[in-house]
Order: sequence, then structure tokens, then C-alpha cells
Amino acid sequence: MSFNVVTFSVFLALLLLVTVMGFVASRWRRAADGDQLDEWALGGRTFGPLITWVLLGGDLYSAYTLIAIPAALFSMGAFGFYAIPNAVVLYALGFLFLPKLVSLAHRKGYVTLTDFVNDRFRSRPLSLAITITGLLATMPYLALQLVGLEVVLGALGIGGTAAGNWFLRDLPLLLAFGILAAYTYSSGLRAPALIAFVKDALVYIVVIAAVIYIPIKLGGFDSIFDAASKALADKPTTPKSGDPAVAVDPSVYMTLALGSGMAFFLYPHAITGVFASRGAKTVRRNMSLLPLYTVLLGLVALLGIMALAADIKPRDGNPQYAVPQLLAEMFPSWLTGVAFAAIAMSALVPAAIMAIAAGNLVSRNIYRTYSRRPVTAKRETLVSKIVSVLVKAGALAFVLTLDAKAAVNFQLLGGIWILQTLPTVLLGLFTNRLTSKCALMTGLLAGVAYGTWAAYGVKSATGGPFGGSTATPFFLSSPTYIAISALVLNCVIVAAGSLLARIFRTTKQPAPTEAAPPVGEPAGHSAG
Amino acid sequence: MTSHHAFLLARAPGIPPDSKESMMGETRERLPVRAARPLRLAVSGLLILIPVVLSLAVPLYQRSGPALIGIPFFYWFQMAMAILTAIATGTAYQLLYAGDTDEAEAA
Repeated sequence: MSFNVVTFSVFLALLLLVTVMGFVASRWRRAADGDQLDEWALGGRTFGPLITWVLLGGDLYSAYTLIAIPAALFSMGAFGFYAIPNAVVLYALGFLFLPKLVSLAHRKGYVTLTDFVNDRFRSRPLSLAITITGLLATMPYLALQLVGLEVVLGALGIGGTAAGNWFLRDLPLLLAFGILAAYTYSSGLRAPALIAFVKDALVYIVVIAAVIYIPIKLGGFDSIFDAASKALADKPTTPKSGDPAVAVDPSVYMTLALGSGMAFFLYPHAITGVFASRGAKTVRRNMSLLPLYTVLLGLVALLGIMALAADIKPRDGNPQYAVPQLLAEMFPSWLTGVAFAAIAMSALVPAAIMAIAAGNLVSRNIYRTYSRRPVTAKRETLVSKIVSVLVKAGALAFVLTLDAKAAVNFQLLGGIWILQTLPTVLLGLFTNRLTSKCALMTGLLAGVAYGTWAAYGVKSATGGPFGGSTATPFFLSSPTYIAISALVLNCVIVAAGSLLARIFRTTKQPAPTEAAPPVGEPAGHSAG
Repeated sequence: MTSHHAFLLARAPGIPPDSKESMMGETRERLPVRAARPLRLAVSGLLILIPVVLSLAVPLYQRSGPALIGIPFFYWFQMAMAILTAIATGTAYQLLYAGDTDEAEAA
């Protein structure tokens, strides 16, 4: 796309503003003892409802979301809309278990989800499994935020294929991430929390402007969906029967929404946002207000349909350019600048939170746990800060050297893997039954192994592995999201293993009371 | 603990925060509290479950009409479920936790 001076100036001014905010944030709500890990990593756990709102909004509505969801609608139609029921599931589940988790975290000083699992089960292998799963799931997510930023820079006409050599091509991205790493290092979670205010405000403005302005230009939603239906009907992937605008495979759609919804709050960056809040009340209020934000997400998703109707031809045939190009075509130059700045900030905010979350997992749950000598709080914080920079460098190297497809593959696997930690977290939080350490560990490993194997078996259009995230499991006849079939397997193992452990224990040491093994809850219980 | 609804909170009354038993003992401790307001709890649970079940019942809403300002049923129904979720969790919050404070729980 061509370079526009007005668009670029507005973009640059807004990005400079948040850069200054990122550095100033270290002085915002500063605590007395800055050496403690939860000062840097969780902003001192003092965030009230409003800050928690923008911080969790920053986690959920990332650049990858803002670009990839409409891109999915643009290229595959209604299927991409599963992000909406996914959000319904995640808030309902979050309302159920996060308040209890956050009050425990405050009382016992948990910084990561592993801290909880470690405290509850006192099992090093299980804790390590949770830590590694969290790290592996976060890294590709972080890399995809970079991909989102790359798309924005490309749409602005700076960097990308426009420049000749690799250095000029990647310079804007290197610059943006260097600055991000610097202020995350110095300000910790306070930087993304403060920037998230600006990001949220800009996203609101842009989305509301887009859903009023673009339909008027395109002749209303009636003609938008008419045109989009015609465009979708031409695609080879669309079923030939019924309205192409609402064609989805119900079992795939449902399990994707359910599985990704249940997985969301197991991601380290989501947990970081939750643990930084002031307490259970703040989290509950957020879980009851944030669903309203989903309407905005639905409108963002509809931008993909509008891009279809406007007959956008995305650059290099890459559907991720559909929305940036739609906005550039429809909006006046200055508003396009605001929109691009909003998407760029939506990459920077979650990238910072993800890097902090990964840093905490490494410093607290690997470095401190496995260090021979006692680790001071100051040293723990320093390790966290350094790792936060290293993971950003790693993600950058990943994006610059490997195909973006590799990041998407890993993110797909990460989603399958992270969901396998659900039984450990939910059962550990709410019950003493079905919580044999061995059974939970075996279930997790089996779920991860099966999920990886099943995902490997899905052929892509070019015949390679990891072609998608849905397959028909051996116990069902319709295709489902692999994470869900792996979770079913995981839960069956956890239930059976825990019951066996219980029976084994009671026969070995016959206890006068509770001789009968508990009936237990059905395996699907944790999936609720 | 000042609230009446310790069943969803971490600490049961009378147990020192640092004891390992606080995790183990809580399933027993929370039962009397749960029994104290069974109706409110049941209503809240049902309220939260309704939008979740409806938004996962794909065959129910997989159709074009009736459209809302030109948006097919499939799309606006799911967005309406998001609003219903906010109403449901908001009502559950009012029914069960309205008097809570962050400090009481974080103490």
C-alpha cells in the first residue's frame, strides 16, 4: 500500500505518546518496596475495576484478534464468528473460578498459576508440567502479536517489501520492539496497564466509527451481507447448500468456541492480568461487565464481512491485510492513522503482559524452585525482567527468520496444550476428590500427546502436517476441535486414575470411616 | 470474613491463613453457607448457564432470518447472548456478592 503523510504522522504522534507513557508508568502508583516481584510483575496487586478492565481487555482484544478474526470471516465466512460464543464461555467460566483463585493468590502471594498448583499439590513434576505448558503456549502468541504489528507497518507503507534490503525492511519492527522491551523492563506491568487506557479509547473510537461509517458507504447491512454471500459462494470451501453467509459446521464451531473459551484464563498472560487486580470483588465485577465488550468484538468481526462486500483485494493475497486495507480505503487519512495506531497498541499491550508473564514463570517457577541457594526477592525480580527482554528477542527472531505459518502452527498447538491444564486447576481449586497427583499428571501428558499427534495428522492444503485444529476423534463421528477430544481423554484418565488411587490407598490402609470409594463426579464435570 | 458467602472464597472462617488445612477443610466448611441461600445460588447458576448453553447450541441459531437492521440472525443472536451473559453474571453478582469488599477477601 502507498505511503500517506497524514496517516503516518497521526500514527507516529500517537505511538510516541504511549512510548512516553510507558516510561513514565514506572512512577505511577509506585510502591515502597520495588524489589518485590509482585511490584514489577503485578503492579503491586492494587488495580481496581477500571484498570483491570482495560488490562484484561488488552489481553483479550489483541492485535492478533483485531486482525485475525475479521481475516477469518473474510476468508472463511461465518466460521470466524466463533470468537463470540468463545467469549461467552470464557466470562462465565471466569466468573466461576477466578474470584476464588485471586483471593488465594493475594493471601498466599501467588504470582503465577504454577504457584497455586505447587501450593495445592506439592508435586514438582506437576508444577513443572504446568510451567512448561504455560511458556510454550505464550511464546507463539507473543510472536503473533509481532505478526500483527508487521501487518500494520506494511499497511502504512513503511518496512515490508517496499524497502530493498532486510535491515530497512525490518527496522520499524526492531525499533518498536526495542522500545517496548525497554519500558517493560523499567516499568513492569504498570506500562501496559497505563497504555491500555489509550489503546482501549482508540479501539472504541475506531470500531464505532467503522460500523457507522462503512455500512453507510456500502449501502447498509442488507447489501453488505448480500454482496458478502455472493463473494463467499464463489469460494471452494463454502458448502453449496443454504445461505453461504451462515454456513458453518456446527460441531466444529461449538467445540472451537467451548475449547478456546475454557482455555483463555489458563494462559499465563490472562492470569497475570487477573492476579494484578485488587481482589475477588474487582474480578467478579469485571467478569460481569466485560461481556459487553464482546459486542465490540462482534462488530470488529463484521469488518471482515464488510471487506468482502467492498471487494477488497488484500496485498499478497494475505487475508490479514483485508481490514487494514478496508479502513484505509474507507476512512479519511487521519482516521486511518488513528486506526493503525490502535491496532499497533493492541499488539504492544498484550506483548508486554505476555513477556512479563513468561518472565515470572521462568524466575519464580524454574530459577527459584531449582536454585541450590536461597533466592532473594530482588534477584527474582531481576531474573524476571531479563527474561521478559529475552522472550521478546526470541519472538522477534522467530518472526524474522521463520515463516509466519510456523507461529500459527505453534499457537494452534499451544491452545490444545494449555487446555489440558484445566482439570488440575479446576479440580485443585474446588474439590479434594479426583485429585490424585499421578492421575492429573498422566491425564495432562496423555492429553498433550494425543492433541499433538492428532494435530500433526491434519493435512494442510499443501499436504504438510498441522493443517488445522479440528479432526474426527476415535470416539465420535463428527469433526471436533482437537483440544476438546484431548480434554475428554484427559478427564477420563484423571477420574479413573484418581478412583484407582483411592481404592488402592483404602485397601492398603483400611480406614474405619470412608471405606467406600467416592462415587466421584462424571469426567465431564470440569468441562462445565 | 464479613461476607455471608464464603463458599466461593478461599478462606473458611476460623482457619489460620497459613495452615495447609485451609485448602483441605474448605469443602466441608462451605457446605453450611451454601445451604443458607440455596435459592439465590440455584438462580444464579441457572442464569449463567442459559447464555452459555444458548451460544453453544449452533443448530438453533444457524439461519439467516429474522434479520436485525440487515444483520442475519446467526450474527446478531450471538452478540445478544454476550449481552445476556453480562446481565446474567451481573444479576448473580447482585444476588450473591453485592456487599463484598476486596479488602475483606484479600486480608
